[in-house]
Amino acid sequence: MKTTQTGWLGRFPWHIAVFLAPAVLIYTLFMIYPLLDSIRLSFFTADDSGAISYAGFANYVTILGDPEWRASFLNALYNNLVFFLVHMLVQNPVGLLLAALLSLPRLRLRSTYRTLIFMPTMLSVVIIGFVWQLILSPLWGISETLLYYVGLVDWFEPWLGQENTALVTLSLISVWQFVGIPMILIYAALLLIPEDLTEAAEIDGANHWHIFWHIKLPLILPTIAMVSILTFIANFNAFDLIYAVKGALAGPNFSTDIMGTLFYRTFFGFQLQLGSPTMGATVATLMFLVILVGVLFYLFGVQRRLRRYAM
Amino acid sequence: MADSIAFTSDRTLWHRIGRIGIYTLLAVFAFYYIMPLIVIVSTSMKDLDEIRTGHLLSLPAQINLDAWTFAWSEACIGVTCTGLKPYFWNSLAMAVPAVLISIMLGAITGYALTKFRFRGANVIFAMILFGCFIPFQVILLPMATSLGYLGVANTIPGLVLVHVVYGLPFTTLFFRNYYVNIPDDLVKAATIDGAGFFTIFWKIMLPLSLPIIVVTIIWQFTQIWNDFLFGASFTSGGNQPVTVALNNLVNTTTGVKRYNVDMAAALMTAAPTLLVYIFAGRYFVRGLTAGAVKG
Repeated sequence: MKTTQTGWLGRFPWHIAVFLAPAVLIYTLFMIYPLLDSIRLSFFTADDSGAISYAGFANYVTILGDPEWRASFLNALYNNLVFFLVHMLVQNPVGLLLAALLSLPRLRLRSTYRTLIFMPTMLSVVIIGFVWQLILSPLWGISETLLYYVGLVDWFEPWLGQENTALVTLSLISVWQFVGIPMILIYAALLLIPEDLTEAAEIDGANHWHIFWHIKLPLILPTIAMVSILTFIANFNAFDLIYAVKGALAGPNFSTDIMGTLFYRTFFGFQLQLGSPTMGATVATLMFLVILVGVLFYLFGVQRRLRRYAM
Repeated sequence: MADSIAFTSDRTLWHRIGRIGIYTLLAVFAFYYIMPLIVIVSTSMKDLDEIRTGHLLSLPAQINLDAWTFAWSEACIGVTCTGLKPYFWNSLAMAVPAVLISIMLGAITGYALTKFRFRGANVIFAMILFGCFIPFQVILLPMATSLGYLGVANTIPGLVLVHVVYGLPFTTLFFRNYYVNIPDDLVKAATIDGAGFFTIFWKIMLPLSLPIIVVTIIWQFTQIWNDFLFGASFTSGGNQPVTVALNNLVNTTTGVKRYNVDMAAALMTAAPTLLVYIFAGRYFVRGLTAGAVKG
């Protein structure tokens, strides 16, 4: 490819470098450098005056070794995993189902459903958290009444307030908000499938179910894999929903604490604990490592295999 | 013959049952998605007595916009009682330049990376892509230091800079993936005709880019307008964006809980992104299918 190019296309393109420069420069200065600086900072410790000194792996040893730190770190990591799994097991399958339904031929009100379900993804998490808090509230809410209408009033509990249900409830609120993203991405992928493929199968007597299961699904696997990795990244970065509904303390009793809120408390401090930039940098670096492992797994484990399969 | 007739009628019966099932399912979903919207809109138009005695889903007895004016210009956010108005303008002053700049940079970078493949183009792209994976939290402190160093800490231009930087990987990804599908021959032909780098970009690439520009505008505007962490971390007081102000307004613990004011404020915060979606939304799926996001 490169060798066939002639003239100024083949030589080092200085004018292109000029056009790339702003993006690369801004990006290096404000993204790569801060990232490296954060990682560097995680190897330092600050004394009472705020002066920092090199401490090796001491911060990591504290987080993973000190009983109190370890308990809160593992709690946040575990909760984050639950938060992610709820999205993986509920949001993405429901998104796939909705995309499959919306791509059915001769469906009425197609764009109305699509618009309606995608709408919450456009809204601030603060709004979503607040509205669902009100809807689920035992005092003001309507969920008890709605359950009464369908005869399930006994099931009602103050889900957001209980230690054993708060995390899953928040995850489901987040699923409600973001199911539109897998839906729209998979829907767009389904639209791209050439019609002759499905028509041929239809002539052979296959029904919609067979066509979906045996022809369309294999073709959209790369999209599903991409949706999964996006879910992973977004969920391990999550912060604002928990913060907006539960505050930095991620109550009740830290049962909704995830990596993002743990970082926020460590970094900015809360109640009697002072904020620590160096410990914050350590938590942030660990978050980064968790996400890196997931992304590498996707790039080298999933995507490579899928590409081979698709070819 | 008879067999095949039985087969087809059987099929249409199942088909009909299937259709009923599908529409029921979609109706349940529609209710589940429309219900919170009804709650927001109708509560914002009720007075406090009506909220206390009535039902969240009931429609307001009469349309009362007092809560709206109160939320816009009088409600207390922290200790200052200015309403959402100044914060709303903050967000607009932050989002519009940040969206425009990040899209411009993303388009040029995506174009340079795809249509003029040179040694190292893939390395640069991989590095920029890497930015999509970096948690906000990791760059928070060094970013704060840099903003202070540049003298834009706790200002709107500072937030614009942060959002341009953080949006750049995504806009580059979108444009790069879109431009990969535009035939190289177009560019080669123009090059032979003597068109330069920027002329080709301006005259050929940009006119072809409308679908992806729409997708990127929707994505970037939503991300930036709705951002909470950067706003909460890098600004304070009167420089906060509207999402942070809304959170403070809703969580202000002094005085009576005015749900109608909270809801009106939530709607105001939601309005710009919803408007963008309503006006540009029909291009959204079209832009996505044009190859914005691919595995």
